[in-house]
Amino acid sequence: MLLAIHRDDPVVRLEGELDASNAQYLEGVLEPEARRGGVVTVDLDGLEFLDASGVGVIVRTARRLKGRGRLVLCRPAGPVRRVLDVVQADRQESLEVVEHSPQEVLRDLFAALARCDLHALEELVSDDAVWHLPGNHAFSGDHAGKDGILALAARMQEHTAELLLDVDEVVAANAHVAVVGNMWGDREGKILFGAGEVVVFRVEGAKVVEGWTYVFDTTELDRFWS
Amino acid sequence: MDTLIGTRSFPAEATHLHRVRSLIREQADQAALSSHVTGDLLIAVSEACANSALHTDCDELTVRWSLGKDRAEVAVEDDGVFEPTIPMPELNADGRGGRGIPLMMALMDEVTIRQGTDAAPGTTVRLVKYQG
Repeated sequence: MLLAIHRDDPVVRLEGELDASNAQYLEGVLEPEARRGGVVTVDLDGLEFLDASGVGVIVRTARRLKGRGRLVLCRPAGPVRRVLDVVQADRQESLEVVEHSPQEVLRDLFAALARCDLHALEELVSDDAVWHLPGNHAFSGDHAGKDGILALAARMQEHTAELLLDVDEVVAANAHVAVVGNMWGDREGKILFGAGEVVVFRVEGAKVVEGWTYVFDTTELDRFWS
Repeated sequence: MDTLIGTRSFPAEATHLHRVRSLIREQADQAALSSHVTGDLLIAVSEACANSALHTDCDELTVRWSLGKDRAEVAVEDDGVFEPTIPMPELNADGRGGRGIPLMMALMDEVTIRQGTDAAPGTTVRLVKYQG
């Protein structure tokens, strides 16, 4: 087969040659992703050829994502890099061409999400997502909907001088991404010293539909958030 | 230095484009062209053939090559009629088409198009790349 499309949610990995004979096939795969929105990450590391029809698919996918996410193209090389440079792909709206691997893109993205970065939440969380927080404090429980989760993040950041997540590892499997790290905080005179936590996200395509925060010491978190 | 010359015909179909590229890779390798020239030629020739395959109803296209150390030329010929419209991507809301010829022009040192018309069918795209 000339072009193989591997789906490792939330990454689409291309291998082979993309030309006028198979561009439509790729568009069929990317279109539902683009309609759903979020950060659609495509790994070009294994792609050896790209022509104008392929560029057309990339441009149309980026246009569909406009205002609802972006298309990130990772590791283009050789003739693929040359074509993307010539058509000035990086100047296209909602399209980004990066040198690093999709794993690194995901790592940064999900680390930002785990630390409740508002921009990352806005971009990645689906409208009907649910986020579960453990413990017995003001924010414990289930938070439903993108608006609910954004409101939660805003409330958590209120009265909080400092809140940092020191990320140790981001592990991506098919439908789940786990962020392992330590939380540091300073809130109304209460200090949080690197409390260990794991945040697990369930993803559908390029969107997060569910999130679970697990903390190693719930009483420490209860003290900090109450 | 010898110049490598040849001619080969292919079905004018998108599914055969990769065969044209294999030929160009192989010939460019034999002619010891630089990877930069080979890469650019590969893209431009594939694009010229894609035009024949997508925009004409020709059954066949012919690739002629003359590859020298300092100058590489590839011509793509079909017996079709060139589309008498001006492709303007900015006018196509869905962004379809219109990038092939600008792409060839950006990559090559010379692009000449002998356009087939109803009165005189047969389109030839001539692509020239100099070793910089």
